[in-house]
Formats: sequence, C-alpha cells, structure tokens
Amino acid sequence: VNEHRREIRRGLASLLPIWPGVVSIGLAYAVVSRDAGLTPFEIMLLCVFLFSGAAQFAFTSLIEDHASALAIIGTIALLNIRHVLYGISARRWLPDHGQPPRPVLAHFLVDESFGVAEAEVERGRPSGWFLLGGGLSLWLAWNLSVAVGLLFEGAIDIPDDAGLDFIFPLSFVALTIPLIRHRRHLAAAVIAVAVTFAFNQIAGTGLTVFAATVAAVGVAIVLEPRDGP
Amino acid sequence: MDRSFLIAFAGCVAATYASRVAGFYAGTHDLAERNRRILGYVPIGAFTAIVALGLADSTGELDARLPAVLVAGSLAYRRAPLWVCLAIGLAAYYGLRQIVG
Repeated sequence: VNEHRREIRRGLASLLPIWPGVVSIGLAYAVVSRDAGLTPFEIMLLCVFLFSGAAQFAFTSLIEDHASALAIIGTIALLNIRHVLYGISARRWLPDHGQPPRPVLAHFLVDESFGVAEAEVERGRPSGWFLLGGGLSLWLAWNLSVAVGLLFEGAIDIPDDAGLDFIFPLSFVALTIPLIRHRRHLAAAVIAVAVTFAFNQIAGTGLTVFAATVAAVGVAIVLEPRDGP
Repeated sequence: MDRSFLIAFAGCVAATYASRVAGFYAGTHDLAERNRRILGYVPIGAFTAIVALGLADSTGELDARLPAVLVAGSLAYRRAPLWVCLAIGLAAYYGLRQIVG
C-alpha cells in the first residue's frame, strides 16, 4: 500500500510542471462557459465528470448554439475516441492484478497522464498507480482553476497572447522524443505528422489525433520485425 | 437545471467514460512481443499529432514556437526531466517572441 501511495504521489508531482498551462485554460473556460449561459453548478459538474478541456469547450459552444443533444454527444464521442487506443496500449504494461481498478483508472485517462505514464514505461517503471496519480494531478488542477475562475468571475485575466497554451505541445515533445529509439519509430512519427496536417484541414482535433495514431500503428505493423521462433 | 443540458451532459459523460474504459477491457496484458511493440506506437503517433497540431494552430507564432520545440526536443533527447524541457523551451519561446515580434 505504501508503494502504491508513493507511485500516486510521484504521478501527482510529475504533472506539476504543466499546471500553469492547465490553470490558464481553466480560468478561460470559466469565463467562456459563464458567457455561454451555464450556471456554476453545471460548469463544475462538467469539470468533475466529463474532465476533458477540449470536450468541455466544444460542449459549451454547442450548448450555446442550441445544438441537439445527439449532435453534442456525437461530437464529444469523436473528440475522445483516441482514448480507446490509449487504454488498449496501456494494457500492454498494465497487468490484471496489483493495479488500481480499471473503472477508476479510466476516469483519469487523459493525454497528459497517459504521456507521463508512458515515459515511466520507457524508464522501466510501468505503474497504473503512477497513471492514476498523473490523472488526479490534472483533475485537481482543472477543477481548482475553473472553480477559482468562477469565484472571481473573470477578475483574473490572463491575456490570450500569454502563450501558456504552448506548454502542452512543449510537454508532449519532451514526452515523445525518448520514445523514438529506432528509425521505424521516427518513420511512424513522420507519417503521424503528415496525417495530422492532412486531417487537420477536414476533421476536428480528436479525429485528427486518432487518425495519426492509427497511421503510426499501421507503420508499426509494416515495419516491426516478426518475433523469432 | 435545464433538461436539454442534463440529457447532453449525461450522454457526453457516458460517451467519454466509455472511450476511456473500453480500451482497458478491449486490450489484454498477455500479448506476443511483436504486438506489444506495435502498441508502443500509440503514444508516438498520438503525441506527435498533438505537437503538430500545437504548431499548426500557432497563428503566426511559428517562428518562435518551432525553434522552442526543437530546443525542448533536444533536451528531451538528452533525457532532461519534463520541467527542465518546459522551462528552457518556454524561455526560448518568450525570448524569440521578443526578437521576431
């Protein structure tokens, strides 16, 4: 149990460096969602249970535009479809026993927590408890920043051009580079970039990431050598 | 609470949770080594796409963002911790913004 707590704490700490980026977006989301007519209670419900920045912005915008429930749910489902691949991938290092319950872990499976957990796999320390800690870190940062934004009603103003959103691509560069150890990994990354630029013109963020990931896995299927006898 | 909000909220939470939990049950821990390696490409593809999107949507800041990404990437290549990559990458980004406007 002590080992589990230590891994959760390490996971929590691992994502502290990106808290400024999360806070800036959380404060902005509080303002946007209030302007769209959502109540503070509705906004915090979204933060606690949906827990997805991109999905919450899309949800809020569609609610404001009076889109149908079916259209909203369909959009959010497509935006988050990449998580299916994260779960399948994580299972390769996540054993059946001695790990957090998968239904609990699932709620905290987001890009960033999956990213730091994969970095731990790369270091030879795979842990579902670490993944849980990373997710909890993001969940806390997101909920606290939106709550503070609601409390102060836009009084905390972070300019749009502050550039704190750049923390996210920077952090994913730092998490991706150590994963690229062979030329075939590099080939997959190059293909993923090409697919991203092609899809970004016609599809939303979620589908673009999903398509790039499928393309990278396609490269793996072609290039990864067969296991020996 | 508005009824249409409630329906959309419940549907979105269910859809999002389903996407997060499905992979944990669709995948398995008992894999052939090659399949294990293939699934290791999921983070490579997804994270590369997130970085590319961050650059594609940078609205006129590419001159500052691309070099900063390269700086952070070269630090990550040398196994620098995440916070170091972020701190120096951001410093490069803000410095370049001053220079290139």
